[in-house]
This record gives sequence, structure tokens and C-alpha cells, in this order.
Amino acid sequence: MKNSRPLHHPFPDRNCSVRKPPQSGGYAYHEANGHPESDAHSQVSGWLEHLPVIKTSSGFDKKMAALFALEIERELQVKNRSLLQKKKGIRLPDLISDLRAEFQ
Amino acid sequence: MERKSYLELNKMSDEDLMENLQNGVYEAFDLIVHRFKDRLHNFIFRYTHNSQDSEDLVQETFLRVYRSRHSYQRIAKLSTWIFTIASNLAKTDYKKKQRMQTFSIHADDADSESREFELTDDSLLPDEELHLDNSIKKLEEALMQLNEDFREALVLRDIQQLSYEEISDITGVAMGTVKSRINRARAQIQELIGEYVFSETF
Repeated sequence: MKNSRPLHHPFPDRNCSVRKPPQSGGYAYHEANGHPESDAHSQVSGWLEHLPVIKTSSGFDKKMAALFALEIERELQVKNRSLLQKKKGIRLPDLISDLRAEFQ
Repeated sequence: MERKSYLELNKMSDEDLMENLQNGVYEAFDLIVHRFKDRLHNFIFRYTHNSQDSEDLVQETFLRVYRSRHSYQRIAKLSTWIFTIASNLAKTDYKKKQRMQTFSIHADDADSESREFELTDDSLLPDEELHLDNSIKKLEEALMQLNEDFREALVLRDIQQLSYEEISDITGVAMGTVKSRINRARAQIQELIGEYVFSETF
């Protein structure tokens, strides 16, 4: 594949870091060990290992925490509904959010 | 279960954290997210090549980890289990997008020079940095051109640094097949990028 044209930075807007390749020797060694195909494979493997790590954005943790809170709430509602199904005669005020505690 | 401090939890193995989560320790979930979020994002990004889509899929992966927490058994490493979930989600999403896709890397297969990724901006970067950027770009493009199974195996092995055994568990194929896919994928990458990538930089 020929290449003569310059390109944009691959990750211009991302929080990414480049894993630095070994300073010297690694690939030269592979080239000198007399196994052209495995040399090529080792090179590819080395290049891929040093591709930039594309990290999550800075707002990820907050979004994840909010989603997790919603998930816990949803789970609690399902449990409450299930409990009320089993004990149909019970009427409880809305203020009690976790019915499990009431029946322990 | 005895309540553990964040510091105590932080010292635990992934699998111990999961056991705590299974026992209702919600703080363990935060730590699992913290440990895996960037690795998962880096993995899923190779499917989507879109940061927002990747983050959405990482979030969905963690929610599924939580919902399915009781189905996890310690016979498998937690990382293997989580990557399996992420891989399945990423593949499903990738296939869905493939069906809807009107965009491709090659605007026209007959004209390899008209790639949408090849945009010109050579104004300020020093030569070496420019070459590194070009190399990374070439490598990313070559990865995108591999077929899905080859790319998955290669990313898990060479980017995520997982063992063949773990990759076999995640992909659900025999270890021999995994090795074969990785070798063939590397050969294809080598062929696609030729001599250009990193030759001067490294």
C-alpha cells in the first residue's frame, strides 16, 4: 500500500495516550533471526501493542454512576412489585421504598 | 457479609470484587468499572471507531455485568467473562450498523486514493511525529479492513494482551482456530501496510 499523503491525527478529540515503543533493538532482532514470516508477524504484534489506548471521556464515571443508580432503583421496584404480588392484602405508604426491610 | 472499606475492596482481585458485588456490596461495582472501563473502551473502539458509540457500549456492558452478576462463576476469570459480554454487544451493534451503513472506508473500491480517512493536514507536525501519526492511521485502517473474526482475535491478543486460552473462551472457538486467525490476521495486516508503518519512526 503506497502512502504519500499526510493524514489527520487519528484521535484528535480523544483522551488517549500512546504506549511508547521500545527504544531500540526489538524489531531489529526479529529481522535478524532468519524467519521472515514470523518476523513480520512479530512486527505487526509489536506495532499493535503500541497503538494509542483510546480511553473513556472524563464524563464517563458520572454517566455510569447515574445509570447504575437507575438500575438499582429499577431492581428495587421489581422486587417490591414481586413482594406485593405475594402478599396481596398489604397496603403500604409510598414512602417506604425498600419493602424487604419491613418483612425481615 | 461484613462491610468492607473502599481501601480493602481496592486491594482485592477482580474475582473477589465480583463475589462482593454478588453479595450486595455496591461499592465493588465502582471498582470493577474503574478497572475495566478503559480496556473495554479500547477494545470496543476497534469495532465502532466512534467514541460515543464505544462509551455507550461500555456502559451497556457494565449494566449487563451487574444484571447478570449471579450467573458469574469463579471458574472463569472475571476479565474473560466481561470481555465476552462486551464482545457480544459490540458484534451485535457492528452487524446492526453494517446493515444500516451508507458510509464505508472506501468511498469507491476502484479508487483507493479516495479514502475518506485520508484527509490532508500536513501544516505543523514535525516529520517524525507526522510519520508516527500516519503509521497509526494506516494500522487502524488496516485493522478495519480485516474480517470481523480475525480482527477480534487480533485485538484481544495484540492490543488487549490476553492469552490464547482467554481468547478461546471469549470467542467460543477452539484454541487452534484462535491461533490460526491471529496468524492470518497479522499476515493480512503486514500485507496491507507494507513497508511504510513505523519503518522510520522505530
